[in-house]
Amino acid sequence: MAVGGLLVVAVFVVVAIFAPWLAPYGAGATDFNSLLAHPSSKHLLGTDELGRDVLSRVFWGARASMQVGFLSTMLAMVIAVPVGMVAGYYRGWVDTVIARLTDVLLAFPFLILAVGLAAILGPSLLNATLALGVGAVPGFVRIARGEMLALREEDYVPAAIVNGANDATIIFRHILPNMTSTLLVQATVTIPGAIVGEAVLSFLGLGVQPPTPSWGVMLQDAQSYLAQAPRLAIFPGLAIVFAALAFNVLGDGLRDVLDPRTTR
Amino acid sequence: MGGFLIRRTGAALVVLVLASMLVFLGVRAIPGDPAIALGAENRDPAVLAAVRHKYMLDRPLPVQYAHWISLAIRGDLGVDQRQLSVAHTIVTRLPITLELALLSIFVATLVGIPAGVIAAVRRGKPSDYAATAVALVGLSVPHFWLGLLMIVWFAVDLHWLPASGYVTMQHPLANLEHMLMPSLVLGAGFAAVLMRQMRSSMLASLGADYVRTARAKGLSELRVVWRHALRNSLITITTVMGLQLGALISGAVITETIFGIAGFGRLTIDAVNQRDYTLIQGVVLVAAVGYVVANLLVDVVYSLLNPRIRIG
Amino acid sequence: MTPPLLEVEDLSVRFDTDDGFVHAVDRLSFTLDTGEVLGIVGESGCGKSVTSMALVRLLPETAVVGGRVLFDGVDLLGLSSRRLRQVRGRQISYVFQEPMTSLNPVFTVGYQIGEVLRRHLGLSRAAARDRALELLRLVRIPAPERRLDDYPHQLSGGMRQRVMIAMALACDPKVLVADEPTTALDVTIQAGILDLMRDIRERLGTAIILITHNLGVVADVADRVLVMYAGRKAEESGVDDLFAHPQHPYTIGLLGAIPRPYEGEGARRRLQEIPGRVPSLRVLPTACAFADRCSRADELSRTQVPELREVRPRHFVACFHPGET
Repeated sequence: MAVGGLLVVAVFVVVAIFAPWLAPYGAGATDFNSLLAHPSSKHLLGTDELGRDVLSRVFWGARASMQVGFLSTMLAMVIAVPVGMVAGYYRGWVDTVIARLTDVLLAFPFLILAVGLAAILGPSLLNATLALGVGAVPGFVRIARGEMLALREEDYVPAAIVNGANDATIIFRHILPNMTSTLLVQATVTIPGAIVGEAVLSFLGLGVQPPTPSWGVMLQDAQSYLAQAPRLAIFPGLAIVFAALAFNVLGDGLRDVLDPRTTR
Repeated sequence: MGGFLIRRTGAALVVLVLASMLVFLGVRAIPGDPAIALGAENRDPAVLAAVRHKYMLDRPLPVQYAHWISLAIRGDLGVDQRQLSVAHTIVTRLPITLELALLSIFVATLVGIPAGVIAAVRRGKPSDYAATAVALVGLSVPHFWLGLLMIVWFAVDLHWLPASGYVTMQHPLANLEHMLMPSLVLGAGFAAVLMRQMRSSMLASLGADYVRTARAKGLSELRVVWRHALRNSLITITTVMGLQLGALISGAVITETIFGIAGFGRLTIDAVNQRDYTLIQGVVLVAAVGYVVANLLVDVVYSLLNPRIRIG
Repeated sequence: MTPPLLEVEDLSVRFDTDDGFVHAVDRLSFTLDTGEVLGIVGESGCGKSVTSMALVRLLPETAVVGGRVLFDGVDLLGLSSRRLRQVRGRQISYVFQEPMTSLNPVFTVGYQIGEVLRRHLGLSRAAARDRALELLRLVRIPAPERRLDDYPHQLSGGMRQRVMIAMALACDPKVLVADEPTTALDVTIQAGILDLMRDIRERLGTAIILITHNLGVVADVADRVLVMYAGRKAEESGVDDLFAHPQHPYTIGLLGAIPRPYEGEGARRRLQEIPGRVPSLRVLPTACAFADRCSRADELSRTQVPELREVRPRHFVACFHPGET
């Protein structure tokens, strides 16, 4: 099952990267002769209100959506994992301070946070990435801290200390590699949330701005034409669902393989 | 129990203070003159001077913060672009969102918890796989998309339910009509999370030693599951509920936008689109405070339910 | 001669796991008379706990159980679930190893004891509470009136185990199965629990199956002992005869492994270890399961499975080379 998820994920990644070559039309290519056209051999999924080919826009949209999904998760990990590890390693007041700071971050529901960031920075793809990244930080902090609490009891830690290793070496060279599988699983679960999150933000006008295509932007455009051409909302939505589902399935499968102790 | 609650309240207070500082700094971080931002873009020098005076903008930051906080605590969140009291606007819109949230929680609990229990009890059998698959899909579907589809189907095609708008509780039936789809949409995502959590919590309970003891006592399977396992699992679940409230608030923002409901969530978006900084500030602060307080209440409920905390 | 209370015939338990079968118990037979205390001894993984839980079908669904368990003439393995539940807790009850996790943390002690009284004896709430109080006194818990409304986490380990015992005795069962009742407790508390068990047998006449890996415990309380190894019976005899004249090399090894710092002659004996490990239970044995670790092993032991033989009065061994040296 995980393999199936992996395959679909791979497909999406490929499409995202190679969109310029795979898409039949350019992202902004309009054709005022066929507005809101039904699917045909010329436009496999039809066209939107400006005559743009829906299929192509879905492909192009994959770029923005996947980009935000991956980058925000990576941003979160880069910040959160070291912080979580430090909290778990040193415990004491360091742990308490980090716990409070994470709580502060958690105090802002995700969209409220995005709204705040949009107010300061202005809506954009960058804003979306930042908001999603920051929102994912507490989750990773908790995982990294939990793993650290368990792993620091392993025998190789005192062995390394006795051999003269300093704290940084122990944390990053010895313990970190042992948590990669758990972190990987968490990442595969965070990314679909980020993809959906990007759609939400762009839909609300807080993220990717039109005319740059992203699945969320397409959904927003589709809202005005819901009665006449519901397919404009259906196709990008399906893309989101399949991408997110693929990651979730992959994540579940990875978790089963890498950590058989968790109850399935 | 007292000790536990004191610690949690203390932590909550610290978080509230830090969060309010973050909000305060956030507004100051907007490029440009804060006076213009806080004064609702009015560039009249007299107005700007009044704004500077009111928010003590020429004083050092900590003084500004203290002043701003003292105003906020007394309920004065300033005025928005249209010279309306921010606090008043928020207070009028909040109950609408609360109604939506409560209905959604109701839907989610009604569906999610039994589904999770059944999936755990019938682990490995077809009903488990089915329920887990449905939950997985529920997690992957952006629920606002679901909302759009439901509008197309139920409102446009079938004309069963209104597509948008809100009617006050004075007309309960109409109110329900308008709230039905939004609460289903918002509740669906929550239900999926709840189902998964419930399932894994029940699996842990059912595998516990005390369940073996209960069976060894000759109790019926129903009693074992219902009284012994479920009671423990529900207590564990309350901690999850608290965290999900944040997602619920976020969800309310989108749901209200799609369904054209003028609630607190919608207010947030409007504020950003209008670049109404005073309003944004007020909204973000209230949302954060509300969330922290709600979590604290969840902690209180949990400490009452769990005997290990209730009685040292 | 009255017929035995419990007759286990050819009990076999096999687990179907993802990696294949595990034969936890292989054709085990034994009997239990009214009022008798039977000790089942063996190391971890020998199948003793599995055996005890198999009696009333408490094993998970992955277990395949064969053979017969005759209780008062009725085969428990063939009973309907409903009738089996009438036996559990009422005629045959259990005390498990970990009292902290075996008691439900969200219900009071009084409630959990009362539950079994209400279920089997139909007592009212008040009557159940009174009887629960009596039971707490029976197991010698101090200040029982206060303990009734306590939660498990408020009690010490020893007291929790006494509560478990009280709960098990609530309906005056004919058989009490105690699976490692003292293993999780401090040594000083262990003695108290064992005293209690002796007391119970004397006062109430309850038959007890005591499962443990600790021969010392068995010496204290049991009438007869059954030594298990790799899912089969290795030796069975009266307790005095077992300690005085052990026959199976495994039993001898176990006895040699008991720390006895002060021997009569003054010399300190070395602890004797039994070399090797328990064999895998994935295949049914085709030879003596102990052969790899046995100093007496020969061609015969390695090619045939030894059957039980009576080598002394009421003393049975499954070995080709039994004997005391």
